Amino acid sequence: MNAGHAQTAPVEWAKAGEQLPKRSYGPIGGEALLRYAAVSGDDNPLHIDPALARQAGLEERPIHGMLMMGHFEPMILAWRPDVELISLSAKFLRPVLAGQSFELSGRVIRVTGGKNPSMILRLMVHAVGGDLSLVAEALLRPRCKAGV
Amino acid sequence: MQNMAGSPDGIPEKGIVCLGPFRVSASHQEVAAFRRETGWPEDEKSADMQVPHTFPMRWLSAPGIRAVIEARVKEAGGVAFHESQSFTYEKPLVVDQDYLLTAEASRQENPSRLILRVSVVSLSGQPFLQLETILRIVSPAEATP
Repeated sequence: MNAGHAQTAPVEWAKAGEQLPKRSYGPIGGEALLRYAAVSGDDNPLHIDPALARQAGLEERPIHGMLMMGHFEPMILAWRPDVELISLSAKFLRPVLAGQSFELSGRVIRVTGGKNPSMILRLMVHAVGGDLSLVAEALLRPRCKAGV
Repeated sequence: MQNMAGSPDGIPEKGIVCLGPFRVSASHQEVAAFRRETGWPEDEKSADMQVPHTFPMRWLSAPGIRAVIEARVKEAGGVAFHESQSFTYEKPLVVDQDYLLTAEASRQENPSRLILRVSVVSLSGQPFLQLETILRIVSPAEATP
């Protein structure tokens, strides 16, 4: 990484195995899907048209995977405001459908200290009371202080 | 770190199309609206507003990129499902600043996929981020139980 990211370890860096507080959202209805489609530009009719979703073999419109993925960053920053998200990658495994709620969870899987501190998180989204929908990994570094 | 969104190994990609550069930006209004729909707190001072990590997805709906995605999906004769996604930042994006976006679209067969690799740099060419979007293209016959 370059000078755009800070390289100073916070006073208390996380430990491997530490869990992030879980967060739940929803139920996510058709209105929320339309709003996300508007702000993200992802107006794929699969997320908007129930008939097309059924045609594609789904009982309902799937919630945008990116809508769920987008909730990771505020969850991480609520847990540790002193970090910056450097990379985030996800695989979308199963859809969460319109009308359902989803739950975000995560834990620290690796921590590096020293002059170039970082941590890696394993993150997940489940449909509430249901299957694993999304699995992701995030690389974090200490947040750059103003003027640094 | 393993890139979870990396394209499946061993499957050749074909028909690579290069797109751009496109001039893009994250306006204050767009960023605020995006944050409202993705779980960000509303009480943050707007002067400190951070551009969300996943915000650049919005730029993929630019007509020059979208048209290529839609044409490729249509050509493959199916419905596109988002299979994986990754973002890697060199520097955080800044609200109301202009950037240049370039993209490369390619196809895979068996299974059918559309892969989009995007690079975002400052107007002076300084790298800011890279993202990769993989869409799995499923024919209606394949999808219907």
